[in-house]
Amino acid sequence: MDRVIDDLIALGKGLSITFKNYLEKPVTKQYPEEKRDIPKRARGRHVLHRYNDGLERCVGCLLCQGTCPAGAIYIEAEENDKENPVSKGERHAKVFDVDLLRCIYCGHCEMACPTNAITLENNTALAGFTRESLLMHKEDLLEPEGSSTLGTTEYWDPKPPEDLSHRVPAQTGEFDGSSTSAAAVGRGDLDLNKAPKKPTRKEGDNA
Amino acid sequence: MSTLVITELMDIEGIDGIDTYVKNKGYEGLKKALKEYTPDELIEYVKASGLRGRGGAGFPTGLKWSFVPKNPGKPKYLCVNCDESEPGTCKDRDMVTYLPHQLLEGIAICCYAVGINQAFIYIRGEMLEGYEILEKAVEEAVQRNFLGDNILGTDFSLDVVVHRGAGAYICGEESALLSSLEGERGFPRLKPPFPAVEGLYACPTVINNVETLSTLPAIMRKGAEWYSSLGTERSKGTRVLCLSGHVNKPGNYELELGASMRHLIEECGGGVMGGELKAIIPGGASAPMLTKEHLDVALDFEAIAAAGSMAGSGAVIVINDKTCIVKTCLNLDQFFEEESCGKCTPCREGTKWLVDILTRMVNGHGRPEDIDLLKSVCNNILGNTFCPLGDSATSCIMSAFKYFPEEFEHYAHHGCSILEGKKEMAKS
Amino acid sequence: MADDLVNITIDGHQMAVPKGTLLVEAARQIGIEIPVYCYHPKMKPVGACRVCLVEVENQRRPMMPACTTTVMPDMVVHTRSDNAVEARGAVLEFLLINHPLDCPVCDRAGECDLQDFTQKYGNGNTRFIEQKRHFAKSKQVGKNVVLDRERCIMCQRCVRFCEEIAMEEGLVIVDRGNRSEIGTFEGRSFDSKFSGNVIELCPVGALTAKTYRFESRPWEQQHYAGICNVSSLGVNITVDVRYDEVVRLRGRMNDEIDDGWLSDKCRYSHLAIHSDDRILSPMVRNDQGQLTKVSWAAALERIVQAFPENASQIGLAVGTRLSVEDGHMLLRLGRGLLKTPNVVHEHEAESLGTNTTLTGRVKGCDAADVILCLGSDPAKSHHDFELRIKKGLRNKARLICIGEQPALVGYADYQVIGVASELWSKLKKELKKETTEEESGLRFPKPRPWEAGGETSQDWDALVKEIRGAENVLVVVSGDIAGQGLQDVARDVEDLGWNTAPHGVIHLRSGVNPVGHESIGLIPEWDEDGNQALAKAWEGMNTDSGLSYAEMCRGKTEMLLAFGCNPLAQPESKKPKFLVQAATHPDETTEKADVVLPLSMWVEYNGVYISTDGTVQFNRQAILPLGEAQPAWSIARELCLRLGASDLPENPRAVYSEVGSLHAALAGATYKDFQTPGQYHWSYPQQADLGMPRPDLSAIPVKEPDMPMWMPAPLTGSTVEGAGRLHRGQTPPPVPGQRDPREIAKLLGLNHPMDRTAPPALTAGGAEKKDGYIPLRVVPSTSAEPAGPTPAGRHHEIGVGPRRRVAVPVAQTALLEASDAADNTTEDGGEE
Repeated sequence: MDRVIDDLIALGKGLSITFKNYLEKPVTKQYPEEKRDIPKRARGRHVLHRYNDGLERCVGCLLCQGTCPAGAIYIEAEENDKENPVSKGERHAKVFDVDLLRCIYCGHCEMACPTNAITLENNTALAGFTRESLLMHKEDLLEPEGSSTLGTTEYWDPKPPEDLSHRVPAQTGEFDGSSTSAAAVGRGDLDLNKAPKKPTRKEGDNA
Repeated sequence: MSTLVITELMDIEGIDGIDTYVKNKGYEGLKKALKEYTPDELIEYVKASGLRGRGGAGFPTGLKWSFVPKNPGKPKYLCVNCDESEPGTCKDRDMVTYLPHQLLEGIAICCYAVGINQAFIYIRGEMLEGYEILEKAVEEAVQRNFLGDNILGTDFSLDVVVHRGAGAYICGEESALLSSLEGERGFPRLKPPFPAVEGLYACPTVINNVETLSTLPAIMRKGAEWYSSLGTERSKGTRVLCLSGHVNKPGNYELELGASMRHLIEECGGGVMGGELKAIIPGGASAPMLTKEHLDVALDFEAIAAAGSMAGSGAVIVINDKTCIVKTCLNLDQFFEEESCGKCTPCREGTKWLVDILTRMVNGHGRPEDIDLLKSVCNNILGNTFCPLGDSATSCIMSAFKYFPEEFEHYAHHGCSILEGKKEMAKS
Repeated sequence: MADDLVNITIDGHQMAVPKGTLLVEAARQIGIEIPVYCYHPKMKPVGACRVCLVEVENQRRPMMPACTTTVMPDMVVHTRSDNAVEARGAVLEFLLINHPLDCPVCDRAGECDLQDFTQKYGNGNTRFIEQKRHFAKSKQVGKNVVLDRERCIMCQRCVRFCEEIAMEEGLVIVDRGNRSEIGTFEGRSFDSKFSGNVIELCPVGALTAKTYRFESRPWEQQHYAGICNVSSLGVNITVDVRYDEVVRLRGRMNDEIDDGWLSDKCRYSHLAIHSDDRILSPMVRNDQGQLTKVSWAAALERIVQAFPENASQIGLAVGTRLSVEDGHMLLRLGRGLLKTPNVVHEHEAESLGTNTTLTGRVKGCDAADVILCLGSDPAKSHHDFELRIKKGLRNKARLICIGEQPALVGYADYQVIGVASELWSKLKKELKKETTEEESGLRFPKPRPWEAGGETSQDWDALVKEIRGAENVLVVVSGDIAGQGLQDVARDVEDLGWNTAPHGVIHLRSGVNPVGHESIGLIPEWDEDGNQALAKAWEGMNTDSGLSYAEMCRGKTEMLLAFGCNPLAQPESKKPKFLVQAATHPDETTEKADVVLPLSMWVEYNGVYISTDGTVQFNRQAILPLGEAQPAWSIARELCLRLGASDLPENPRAVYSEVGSLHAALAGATYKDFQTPGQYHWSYPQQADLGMPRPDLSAIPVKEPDMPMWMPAPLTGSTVEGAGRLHRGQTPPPVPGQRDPREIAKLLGLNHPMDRTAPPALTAGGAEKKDGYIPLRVVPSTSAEPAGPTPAGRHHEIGVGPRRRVAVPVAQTALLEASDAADNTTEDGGEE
């Protein structure tokens, strides 16, 4: 008798799930008419980011190329023209190719990037008719001129702690004009009460 | 008033001229040395006098000379260290300016003892007056045959060259002095080989301080026994102390070794100026500070070392209680940062870092962790540098932490000096 | 226990080392690494950087710099005690506080000592919140050297190199203390012949090469052991390759020859490999007198048709940049098949003949008492030799220059200007005179000419006296010594009794491999007795004496085949009726040649080169031949095939074995002679120190010391000629005296990346790759089949890869597409 009751309870439990799902909306999406939300950290096609001033973040350091387990990235670096820099710093990527057919979307490249220049974004609809169309060049990967985002970085890259005990101008980078903060940002010799101890060296004196 | 050995003749009018100097028993010591002693006996004589080097380390002079090989098959040289650049020190300047012949006589005695025919006086570039006086004195002495070929009819010849440095503190370090004298960059050299074996131009070289050599004529004139009767058991004789800072009568005072700091500051210096005594730096900027508790410490090599400082160059700097110790440290370290030669890493980078931290603290941006940071940076410099300059840069901070930790704490927590009272912490 | 040994204890290991050994060297011998920046085994220690501080028991100052402290009896040293670790961390922290965070843009990143040691011994965090010191970026201090002063850690290696090794005014320290910077003398540029060495010496990225800036990263390179192809000294180099492109050459230490240094002339010689004017396809002059590209088949056909009836009207001129294998195959083509007596190399006029023994060696400078430079200037033609002479001068040698020697005159103790041959015969007469006078050798050192205040003496008597007193004399002659009237110098020196190797006469030859070519008989006179084996193997070969190179250049033959040389640049040269040139770059001969063949450069094929003092060295192929270029031996082989020969050796290895079996001078030689292990670049397993526990070194057996294990970049490389190929995927051979990184990894329970299996041999375009070389396949140019080797490598055309390597002939595209799939699989399996 007990066994019958147990069976019935089990049956009831099972059926309750069936009926619950029967009443719910179907999960199937009518792709491509309908598109499903992709998790924020999903890794799709690469994007090369820019700074606010339009300069490229990528400095062509080749760390992503070095870390890429699939050998999907090829970079050639070049020295920046000082007048018309492409990136901040001394070098930039002249050639930046990603072979999407080789890429395994592991995300090592974005982790290795010292300037947060490359991220894997949510564009997962990657298909092409030719091999060439899936070889991304720098022009294809770069954010359009004028836009400057950090991409998915903010979802996985931990931010530096904000709870510093005593925030000094050296950390905030603020200079309020007082001699104290001048010292903290490395210009302690700017004390207005005294004459400068020694002539300050200008950058590139001997250049 | 203690016996005067070095400065005995200083007050005589025109003593920098050779005539006056000779009238006042000048060059008597040299004559005695040349006539009565062989070089070896002379070294023993100086050993017996108990004279110790006055440059800072207090190494027995006679012993130093005896290290020089007798017949190395190369020339031997004497370098007189007159690159007096320790902050607070001003004794060599007076000795050169007022008693140039006494120094030259000392040089001649030393060279005779060690068998040197070529001496160099490395004088600090800023001492232009002293340089001119010395040049003139050398000329006069050569004319009177106290220097030059066959001095006083003997077969001992000596040529003295006065060389001006370019005003680098590091060139007071003996091996850097040699480098500078050779025309190279004033970088200290590796030891061994020590200068006594391989010094100037890779030849045996004696390096003595001006004060050490200026003492020699008097020792020769009055006897080694007389000299060794002065001073204490292990620190014989007298010493010129340069009193500066917050005292009423700063200046050079020659005292018997063993005289206390209290004697120097209160009797000679006329007491502390503008407040109470707070700290004393007993041996130039590179010596650790002492406090008023140490006033009765005798100013000889052993006693000061026992009190946790060093006799150094004999520059006693007095600091009164209106002075902020942190700012004092900053001031001293700015000197060492400026003067670091840049050869070795801890000194080159460490002194700059110390100055950076202290500057930031003094300007009100100290952090509590800066105290430990300062201590750690000092520890990292200490003992790891090529020459003692790096160690010197830490001594003031380390001693200040020992005696006045609260001043640093105050800066770290309140952003201002303890003397200014508690201010609102600067917010940024 | 010998008296000159000292017992010391380092980290608990007891050992006995010779007196005067530096602690850092002693520790290295038992495999304990002490980090160094300023220390360099070829320069005097300075003790500036302080990163080598170790704790020594019972010392006044407990922390002693290992690079300047010599061992003392019963010394007890701790390199891993708390104090030592703390001091090392402190020094690294000090170095880093003013070091910019440039690693992503710095050329040195990846092979930077500061990075490496910071990871191993650094504190792992920063406490510095102040402003860093700043200088203006990248200042060009010399023609080829770029300086970044911010990155400099003031180890003074570059300054000391200029002062001590190159003995000239170059880089100096400007200003002092924290503001110190490296610079040049006011208004001077650092344009030394040896300036490139400071780039290698720099432990950080402060000094970088103009040609290498931002070109490549160390981790994507493959390193190959090569031989310099600029001078006949046989300087050892490391060829660094990125994606089948040579990006830089570095010195490779060989104490016998280069002492680890490399002159700029050689260092930048790789620029020619990828230069735009390389000849990359065969060309034939058409009716309009224009050179037009043709297929290999057409070009070879044209040559074969042009061979004249009279074989003695054919001349073969061989450039000395070619290897022994090249020379051998050309000899086979000329004397063996064409049956012409005219097969010579381009510098045969300088030859002293095979009967002369020259005992002088490059390393003879080190222990020589007198270095006697006769005639033309050795420093002008052989830059690397100048450094060796200077090393001798620093040791004890007197430099005597007789003749005209402007480059060395500042260093000469004695100099006599005049006609070298006359002065030599005068000198030799005086030296042969008996003398009763007591001669003392080297006197108390006066200031030498290169020291302050020293002067070059022109005193003939003193000079003669100096030579009389000398025990070891090295006579240096260079170039065309017959032209200088010094052809008898070797015999004279033998008469004087100076022929004690490595001293005696050293003849610095022009070109690269003349000695190699002479040893296989590329000279006009044929030595019939010495080459019996050859005559037997090559039936009916021509054994007459032939024309000299100068005669060939003057158009004495109807047809001239010039391989890697430029006959029309010679004086009084005249174009023969038919001129074939195999060349790498266009020159005077190319302008007039009827057929031009693309020739591979030395890094593109394996080859053996014999240096001027007789060292036989192996040069490893580093890249595939560019375009359609082929090595000379392969072209010769093709021509031999067309002349009906069979059974020809198929690769350099086989050619060299044939050389060994046929030539008396190189009897028994094979490539196995060169299989001595090479130096692997990284000395310690980098992984083992990244947060992992330190390996217990005591568990690893101590091996015989031989090679510095911490060796900084400039000194990497083998001390033996012909080191193996240093490939990323390949298992490096163990180096004596160096702990095998894999052993340490095993102790830690880690898999060392090098334990993985080597990649399978690549195949390209169906052609089988043998010995790193793809055999030439000649097909008619009209055919759709590929006309030459496919550039195979890691990347193919459509995948990622360098775009500039697109120089693929049209005929190959079809094949490329077909081979795509195969290529992909190979790469995936091969490369990690």
